[in-house]
Amino acid sequence: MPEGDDTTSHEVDTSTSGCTPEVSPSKVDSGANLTLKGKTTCSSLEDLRGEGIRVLDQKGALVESSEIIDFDGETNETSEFVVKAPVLPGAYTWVMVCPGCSGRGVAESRVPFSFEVKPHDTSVVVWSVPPTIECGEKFSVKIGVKCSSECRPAPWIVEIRDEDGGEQGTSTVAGERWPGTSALYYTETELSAPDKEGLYLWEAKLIGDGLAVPHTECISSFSVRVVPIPECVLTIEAIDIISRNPVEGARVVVHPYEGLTDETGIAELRIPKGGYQLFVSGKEHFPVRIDGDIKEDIRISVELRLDLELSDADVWL
Amino acid sequence: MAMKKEHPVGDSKPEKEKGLNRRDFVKSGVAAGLGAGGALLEPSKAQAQVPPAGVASADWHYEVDVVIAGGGCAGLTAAIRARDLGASVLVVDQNFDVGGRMLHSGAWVSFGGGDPVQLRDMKGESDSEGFITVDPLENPEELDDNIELLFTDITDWSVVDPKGQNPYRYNERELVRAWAENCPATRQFMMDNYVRFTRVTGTHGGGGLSRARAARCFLMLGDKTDIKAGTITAEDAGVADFERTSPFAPVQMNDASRSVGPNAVMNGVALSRSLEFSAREKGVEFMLHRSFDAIVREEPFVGRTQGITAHYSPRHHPETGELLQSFWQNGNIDERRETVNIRARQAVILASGGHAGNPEVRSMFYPALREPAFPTSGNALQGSQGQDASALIAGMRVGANLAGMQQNLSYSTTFHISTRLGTRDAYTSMMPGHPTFGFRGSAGVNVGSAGFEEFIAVNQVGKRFFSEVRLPARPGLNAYPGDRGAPGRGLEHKPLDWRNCRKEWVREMYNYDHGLDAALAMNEGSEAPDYYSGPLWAIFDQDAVERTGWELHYPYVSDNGYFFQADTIEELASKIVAGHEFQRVPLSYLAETVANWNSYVDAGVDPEFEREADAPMSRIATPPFYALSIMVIWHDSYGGLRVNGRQQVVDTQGEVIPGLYAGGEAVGGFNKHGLGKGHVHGYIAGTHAVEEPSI
Repeated sequence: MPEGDDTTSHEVDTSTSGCTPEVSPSKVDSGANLTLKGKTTCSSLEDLRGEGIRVLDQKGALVESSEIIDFDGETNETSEFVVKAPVLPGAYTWVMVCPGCSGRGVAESRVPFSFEVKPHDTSVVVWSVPPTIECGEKFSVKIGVKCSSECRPAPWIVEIRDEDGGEQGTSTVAGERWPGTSALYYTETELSAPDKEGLYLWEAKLIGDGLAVPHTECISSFSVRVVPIPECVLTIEAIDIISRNPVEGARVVVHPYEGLTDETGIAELRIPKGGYQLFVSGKEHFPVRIDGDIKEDIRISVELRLDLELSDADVWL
Repeated sequence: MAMKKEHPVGDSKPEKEKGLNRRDFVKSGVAAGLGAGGALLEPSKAQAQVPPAGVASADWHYEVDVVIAGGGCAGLTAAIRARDLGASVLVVDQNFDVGGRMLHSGAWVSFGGGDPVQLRDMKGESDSEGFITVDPLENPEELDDNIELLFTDITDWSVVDPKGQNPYRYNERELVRAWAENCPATRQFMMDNYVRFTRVTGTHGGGGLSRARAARCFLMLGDKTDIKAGTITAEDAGVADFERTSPFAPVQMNDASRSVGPNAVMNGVALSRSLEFSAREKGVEFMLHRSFDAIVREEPFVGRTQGITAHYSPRHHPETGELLQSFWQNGNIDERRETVNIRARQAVILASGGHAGNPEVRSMFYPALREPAFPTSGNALQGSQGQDASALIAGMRVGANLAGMQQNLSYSTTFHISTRLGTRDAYTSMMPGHPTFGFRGSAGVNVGSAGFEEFIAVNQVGKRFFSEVRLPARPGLNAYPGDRGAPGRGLEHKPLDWRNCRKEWVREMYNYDHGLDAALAMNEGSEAPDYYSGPLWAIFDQDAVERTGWELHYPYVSDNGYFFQADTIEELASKIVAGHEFQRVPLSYLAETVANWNSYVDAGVDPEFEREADAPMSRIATPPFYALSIMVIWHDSYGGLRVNGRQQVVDTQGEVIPGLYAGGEAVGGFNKHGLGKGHVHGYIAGTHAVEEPSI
């Protein structure tokens, strides 16, 4: 099998009849699709089209049968067919039963093949966390869960814990899919910020226990920045340096505070007193950095230079 | 005109009776309905093998006076020039259409030395057709040029550019002297062959610092595309629809109102199609879909050049599978044998381009660029055999010397990181409408330099490697007129002045960011023996899309392995591995890199690359998540075959290889970018090729 090929072939030499199951993938999500194909060869080069190949589970029960539809003069093949993998994770050995070669009186051949069933992998995504939250303030975040088999939520329970493991909230992810994604289901959860300023690292943990289909647990970290009540208002006016027109949608950042300019090119940030490093950038404008010190409300006009597409002259002079 | 060496069915005349009389060729060609050249071939002719040296006369499939390998700026100019001087000319090109890179260029042609366009603008005159209605863009003193000054400029030892390189001091002196002397004549020659030049605007890379010498090529928008009349329809020019170009113009033409007047459009289409039209009109013949392989010489390293061998290199439409056809057909020879041998009675001219598209060859200049994930510019238009070093390789096989090999590294733009993301062919802006668009599959998203603050750039294992906002930065080069980084910024440039390269000045001027080199560095996924650095990815989230308005839909991106979207970062990494042709290893670190990046954003400090000093940073957190390819582009070549002032190829003994000429990017020893070099080379080569005795 080539490296990286997730298909497993199993062949037993029966000397008179070769039966070869092909299984893909070799590690499959619980209850997910398992793709099989059967091949068999008679030493007499017999055409077995119309005969069936059967698949038996670990208890000998019939899982599926598939008709042989191709014969190339040597090998008989079924088409690919799909069966459901077991739900319970673990290693499985099933059996493929190929028909005998009637011309030589060879009995049907039984070839075991193995695969592994694993719990569904999950990913937890946390977003829309406000860049700054005032002490004790309530805030909301979005929490999404993605299953490797794109399961819809059962629903799923996600716990939010702080750095010390203390529970800050529990949210339930139901069937609402986040726009633009194929199967990221999400919920919005309200949380409370700590009373003291600082940068906190919290966790969102998917609880995998108790689900009908096993899922792995998954933890995703996210930062919560708690700030004191700002004292000053920094008003930014962004204008294009050439056209003198206001620049709408420019980003205004005095870390960790940030905002966007409105249609008049104005943005207001409420920030604490002290030194600051201001960036104003976009849309399609080069960033401008201004360092300063703020003691009271101030207004700053920032001239932005448009990032024009490079001309030949820009490139080649 | 090309003459087949076999006889048509029913024609009992011996080959030599039809032989060398040019007029007879023309007559028979016209009679056969094949245009002025009129070559035929026997389809039953056995395929020839590529010979290492001489080919027995019986094995020649075609013969002409001058064979030209390559139909780009040097080849097409040489073809017209040789044809004007009475030779039969056959141009062999690997592509399905004529023009090479000239066709998708900006057509900024830098000559000088007192060329006719400089003189026209000095006098404030319009062009002969009266299309130009705007005043000159340069002052008369900036246009007051002469050959001595031009020659001085392009051999100026004292100029050092902001990358710390020397654009001029290593130039081959005889070569550039001849180039300077032929600039005025070549400008006039091109104008005589339907090329219309805009007002002169500045100069072009490697064209010297002292005067304004470059003009672009234009056509006027009209109801009909008519090269003789100088008009082109909006549809053909690719300006009728913002998202569509045309089979005539692979790249949409640009507004030329500033340098010509209303309704003027410009770029390489105006240049290339005009020259091609003239060449076909004059009877130059073309054998397309045919890649030049080898030079046939009497002995491997001795004797006269006799011809070339070339193999069939058909290009098919990426969707329909049909054989691609050139826009114009007159003068084409439809030859489909695997290999043909073409005899050149007078000369072979090598104009098949440079080596930027050949990773093995270009790696002699920068081993990291042996990485095949990064193609040369215009890859979709030119195909995989464009810029394949064929001239250099063939020349070396017959003993040619090389020149200027170190000059490849001079220009910052020779290889650079493109701001156009999400397409394999990241240099050009081709849109759907040209038959080769499918080879790129997407036009790409040009995020500009400012757009690089919106993402993290990761290598093939998913690790960041440089400050993203510095990746697209290129050092400005020396220029005249104006103060665009010329020595003594804002001061008049004085050629040959030692102060130009005084170390204090160079230290002040040097501003090269080495992000490109970091991008090409070895990483955990690089494996012996080549240690490929692998593809590069811009990773961002939905918030970035909403901030920027990037259009992540066709034709800008498509499902072609250069753009991916996923619900999670882990899924994004898996999709890249599964879907990109050069992603050889998993992006094992991507999830960790994104998590680290988000922690840097939260902290306001990027301890790895100090991004916080240059631009704001943004979390990558809001699904869906995206990856766009970041491409390193190797644009053009400066090292190549050594030639003398007549464009004759010179061997390692310093001797001319008889009957062998070369020009354009096939040639080394002249660190000048682009068209201005190639056209003059072609003009010189075409002039002297016909002076060779006929064999």
